[in-house]
Amino acid sequence: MKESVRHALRVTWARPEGRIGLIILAIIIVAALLLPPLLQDPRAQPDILNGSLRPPNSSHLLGTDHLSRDVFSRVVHGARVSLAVAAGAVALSITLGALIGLVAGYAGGWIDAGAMRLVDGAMAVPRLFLLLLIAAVMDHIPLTLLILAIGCTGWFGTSRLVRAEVLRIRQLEFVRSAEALGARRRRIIFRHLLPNVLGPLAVATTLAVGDVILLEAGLSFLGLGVQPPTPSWGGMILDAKPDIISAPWTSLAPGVAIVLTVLSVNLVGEALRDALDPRES
Amino acid sequence: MSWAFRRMLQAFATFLVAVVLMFFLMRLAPGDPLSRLGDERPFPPAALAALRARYGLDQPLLTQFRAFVKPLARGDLGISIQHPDHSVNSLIAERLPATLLLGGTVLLINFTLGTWLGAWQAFRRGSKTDHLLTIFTLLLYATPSFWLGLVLVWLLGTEWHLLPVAFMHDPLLSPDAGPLTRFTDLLRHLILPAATLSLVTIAATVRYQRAAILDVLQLDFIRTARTKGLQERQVRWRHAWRNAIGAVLALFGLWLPLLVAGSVFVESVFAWPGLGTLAAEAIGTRDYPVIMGSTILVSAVVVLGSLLADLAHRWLDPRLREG
Repeated sequence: MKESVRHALRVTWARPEGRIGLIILAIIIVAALLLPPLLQDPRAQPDILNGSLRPPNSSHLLGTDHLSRDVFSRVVHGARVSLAVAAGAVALSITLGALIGLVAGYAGGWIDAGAMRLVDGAMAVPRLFLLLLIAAVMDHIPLTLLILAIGCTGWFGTSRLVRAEVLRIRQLEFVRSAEALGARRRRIIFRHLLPNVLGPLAVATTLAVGDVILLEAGLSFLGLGVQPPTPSWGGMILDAKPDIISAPWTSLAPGVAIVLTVLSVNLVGEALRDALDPRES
Repeated sequence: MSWAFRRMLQAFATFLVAVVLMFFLMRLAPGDPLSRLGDERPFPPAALAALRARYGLDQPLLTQFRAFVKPLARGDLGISIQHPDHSVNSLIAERLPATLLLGGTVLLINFTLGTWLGAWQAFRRGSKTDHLLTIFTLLLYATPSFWLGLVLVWLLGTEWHLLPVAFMHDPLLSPDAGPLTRFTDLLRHLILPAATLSLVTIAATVRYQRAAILDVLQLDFIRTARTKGLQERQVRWRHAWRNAIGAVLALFGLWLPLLVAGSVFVESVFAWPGLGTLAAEAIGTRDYPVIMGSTILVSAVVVLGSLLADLAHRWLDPRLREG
């Protein structure tokens, strides 16, 4: 596992787009991890009367918002929230997708048919609407539940991908011989099939991170994602909407943060895919 | 049984699974659609119980499901909680034209400009324009639609006062304005929302089409066509382009969900009176029959879209019919 992570990083770094993506992403992650203790409290509203909607200056790098809160500090803290939600939700959705795809693909028969019809139905509803349905009946949405909801609505495509790979691999000699030697199903699934779907799974994981960051920002923009006063990029854009003319920096900063993060993640995903599947590019 | 008939049955089954899934997702989440009523002011428990009874929320889950599916089979989506004198059908019907206009425009732009741009880029693979376009589409692909909409409002609408930034019509337009004035007014209002939604969705179309054309360009018959001495123009547009049509059609099926989700954000940024704003309003007021109704409609459109794409693909591509 450690070896394959190192390999993935190496092939990504070898490509220019992958290298750019990794560098931007590293800067964002390091900033999100290390900067917060040095910054002002993102929830503090020091001077609403005189200090609101100030343009960028020496004490506020990116200015202040309508409640006199420091925009830079909120963007950095927002990165923490966005990345945490993305990491949690994607870990969940990829695990679910991999497990269901592996089992359905290897078991075949009615388990496979049932799971795939379910996936067909679920994929007929755009993910945003699935989440809107969940949000519509909830009183309030704590962060853990948001992660759970986004994760549980994201595994359908992954399971299809993994299943298709398994259908191909299970015909190969080494799986046949493992079966002939009497290996248990669990052993075949985890020792023989899983390692061989890790490549496509890694690509799916990176691309899913970008999707989830956009999705979470969108939900927060609709007021259904990360709840205030916790800073989030989508929530900041929602707050800044009325001030787009008088104080454009309040919405530009979080928007640029979203674009940069999603772009860097997608660049890594592209590089990884090209490295693992040299057919295109 | 013919292939088309089986494919239609499958589409119908998919839609049914989606509906069942939606219903249970909503009812299994903690809380029910009425539990928020007491949030803002105290709500007598007796009145709450009466409302629960009225909407059948006190019944067992299976009874509720039956009560939900029966009218649905007749095409009846129920009654709005927020507007008790309106059916969900009438609310949706009122908003549908605006969404069809916006979505149709965006669809048209994607399938003309988007696919052409993707092909054009593929034919120039490795060139400077190819790299520039790749960077541009990757940037757009990473841009949230609601944010792009706001930025366009800021630049084009309020900095330079070029275009109207909200609604479908000018509210100050005189009621006896001629049809031409009305039409140009509508077009001017359409530009910003349509541009926003087209920009964020066209990135996917261009990238997809580029990859599809590159796949075709590697095949043997392209080399044959070139060695036959055909002009590059003919090789490109008559051979490569035509054989990548299947990919374009497949994209149509994949792509509708993207358009629908995008329209929720774009419509709400531009106050475009379509289904997206209806859904956004319904979320604000937790009007779950409206949310449910729009979601059902959306998945019907998605299922139908991918069915039509499959049927058209088979009709256009004789290779699929033989195998």
